[in-house]
Amino acid sequence: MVQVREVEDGVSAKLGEGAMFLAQFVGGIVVGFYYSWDVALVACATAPPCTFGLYYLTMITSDTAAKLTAAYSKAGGVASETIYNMRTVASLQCEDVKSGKGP
Amino acid sequence: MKSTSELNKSVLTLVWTAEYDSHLEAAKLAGEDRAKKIGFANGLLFATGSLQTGLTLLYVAFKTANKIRNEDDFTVDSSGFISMFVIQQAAQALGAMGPTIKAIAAARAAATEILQTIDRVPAIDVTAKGDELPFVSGQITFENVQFAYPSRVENPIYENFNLTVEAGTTVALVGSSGSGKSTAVQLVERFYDPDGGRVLLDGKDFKTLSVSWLRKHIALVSQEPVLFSGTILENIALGKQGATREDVIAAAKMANAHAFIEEFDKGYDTDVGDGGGKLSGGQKQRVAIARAIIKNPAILLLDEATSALDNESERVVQAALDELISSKEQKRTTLVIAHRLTTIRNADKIVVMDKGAVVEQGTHAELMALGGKYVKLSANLH
Repeated sequence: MVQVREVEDGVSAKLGEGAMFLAQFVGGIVVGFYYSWDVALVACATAPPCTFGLYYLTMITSDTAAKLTAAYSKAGGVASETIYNMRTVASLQCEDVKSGKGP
Repeated sequence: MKSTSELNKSVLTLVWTAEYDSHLEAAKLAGEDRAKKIGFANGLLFATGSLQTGLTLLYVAFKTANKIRNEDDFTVDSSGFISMFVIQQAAQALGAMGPTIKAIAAARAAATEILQTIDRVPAIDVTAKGDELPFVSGQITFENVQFAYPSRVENPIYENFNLTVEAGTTVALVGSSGSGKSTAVQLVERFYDPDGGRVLLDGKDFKTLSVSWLRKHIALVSQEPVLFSGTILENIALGKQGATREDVIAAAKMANAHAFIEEFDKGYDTDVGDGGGKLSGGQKQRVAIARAIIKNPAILLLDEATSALDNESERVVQAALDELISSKEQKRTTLVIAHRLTTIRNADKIVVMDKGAVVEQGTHAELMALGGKYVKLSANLH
């Protein structure tokens, strides 16, 4: 079931990761302002592009991975469909048609 | 000459290449796209990081220069660098939280859906308590029944359906598909409740009766028999709780199934395979009939029980059914849905249905004499 997998995805590694990132974020700000508040302020002013940079990288990584898997599974589908139905393919003599070499 | 395996190999290669290749081409493009985007994203990450480092270092440099110029203080203060690096880490952590938040939001939505399904209370509750009759004679009455399937509310099956099936008789429902004959069976099994009107068993409203008690007295044989993985014995015994081997064999004999079961090496302990795959259609149907009659139901529902079979199997199964229906010592109410009219000629009453209403009813002879819809239906089928 898709929903069960989605729940599992959300409460397993992702939940721990989320806690880690949150701690890293809050801890970083606190430590940064504690040591040198003025430098921290300057760093914060220039932080948004940095945030976007990593957001974009993580988004793109998972997005394109899904697309790649989908593309490969289509090829795999054709291969297994053909092999499982070899007799039909052979009796119809559509090997060439299927391979694009025939009419 | 090529060996068979070599031949197979070359055929496979031919078939594969094109369609497989075209999909691989798509996969290749997706891979290239991924590489480009990840490259760009990595570049962006380092560029923004460096930009931040650069700007902050510039500020630290000015600050240090000012300190040297105004206060003549040459001590190195590292706290600025610590601040710079930790803020950078914090900013990136914020960015990395994006997919995490997305996944948690998706999980929340999915969990809501799952919980809704778990918490759903069915309209017809098998576990609910209800009345039980001390004795079932088997009279079924449909009284002004209105009904539409929940998934197709805009398309009502019955607008005002009335029919009485007298106790101990065999009544056949015939009509074109969509005339509502199978729906009658669904209502008697109480898979659904009517939207209006009532369905009565011996004069008592179905809704007031206990569902589990009701189903104990009703047996259904449907068009596509479903057997579960296990032995023939186990499958037939499913029909009645605590059935003994003798009960099973008696039921199988009544269903005309004993002979073919005995021919198997393991007899009643033969495994039926996944979904009954090791038995033929006719054999499966006879096992299903045995499973239905083992509980000696007051009401037997046959929903096109022979229509999925070939001629020979149909004849054997029909013979088993005829024997069951006509057996004198065991009078039960039988509701037959039929698409082949020859199989129901001997019914006590034949009901012709059209668009959810009864158009004609009577015995075969009466209906033939009437010369109406029934005659037309039987002419169409021959």
